[in-house]
Amino acid sequence: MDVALVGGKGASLGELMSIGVKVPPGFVLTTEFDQKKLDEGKEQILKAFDELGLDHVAVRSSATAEDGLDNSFAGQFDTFLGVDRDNLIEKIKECFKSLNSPRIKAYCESKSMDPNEIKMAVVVQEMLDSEVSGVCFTANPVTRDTNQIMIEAGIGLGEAVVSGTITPDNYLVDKKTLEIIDKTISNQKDMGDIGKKQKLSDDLIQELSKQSISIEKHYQKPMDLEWAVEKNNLYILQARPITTL
Amino acid sequence: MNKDTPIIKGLIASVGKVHGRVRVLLAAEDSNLLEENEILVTKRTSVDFMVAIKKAAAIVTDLGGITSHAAIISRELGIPCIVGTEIATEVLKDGDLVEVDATEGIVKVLS
Repeated sequence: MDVALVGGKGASLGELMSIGVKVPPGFVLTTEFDQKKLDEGKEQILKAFDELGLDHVAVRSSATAEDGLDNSFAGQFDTFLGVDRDNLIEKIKECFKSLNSPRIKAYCESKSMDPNEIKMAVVVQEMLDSEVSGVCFTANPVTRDTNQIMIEAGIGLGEAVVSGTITPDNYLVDKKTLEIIDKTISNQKDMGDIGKKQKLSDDLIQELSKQSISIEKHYQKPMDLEWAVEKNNLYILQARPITTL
Repeated sequence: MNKDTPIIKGLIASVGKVHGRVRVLLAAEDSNLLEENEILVTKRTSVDFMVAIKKAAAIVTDLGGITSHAAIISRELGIPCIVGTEIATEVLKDGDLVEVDATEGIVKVLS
């Protein structure tokens, strides 16, 4: 898929789909959209939304420089969760506008990048009602051991794990044998009893490990994945190369 | 080891081992209070804690995992870090002399 049209996030989701990885259904508004096209395309966009058959979606920015190996714009552009039909166009517009924020300009300056080189696409995607979600690295980010997979799992939506506001479980898996080498079960406060137990089952830990290995093989570099489990189905939400190893 | 020495356990987010005096910061606004080479102890860090983080010899947090801000910044700066201890900010007090052993994932109070 052409990154120039769909942005880093959009492209990586498309690529994941092409290798048979389960991603939440959705559609991408390419970088060719501008204010005019957005207004003209309103009906088309709402139709695509209706076709998803959902009440709520996640609207995620997908910049052409984002998720690239050298520049991690992670978290710099907007993502909106729980967007319904009435807010959809507005939130899409905000994603496109976030390209012009002072924060982005400052970030580009610090990296000697021309902000005009960056184009924005928007991914509209099903919001999973995930029971468990988290991250997965196909290398140990602490020791840099590329023979290990590290997984973090928390109850609920992925944002809580990634933002550091909760303490997730941590599992270490041997890449060759798929053996679970180590498990640290956390106490996820405010979740009562289930917060104190193992959050991702051994079976799903291994399934996630296998998926992460296929994804790493495809991209030929250590990867940082965001995943979620809904009704025992494992979905990959995002995949990007690990920028610091 | 004296069995009365309190031990705090957490996840190793950045390897290393240091001794130092504790500074518990409950608010980012108090970052100036941390002195050079003290051990930053907090619930979780964020960009707003940078003034303290830059001077700290190590970071210990109550919350968070491998992708939390404290974990990532510690690895970037190459200082020891232990996250997800649950209780560090409750058990540790300003001035406590501790050993942050981020090879075992343990914080030991020495005095």
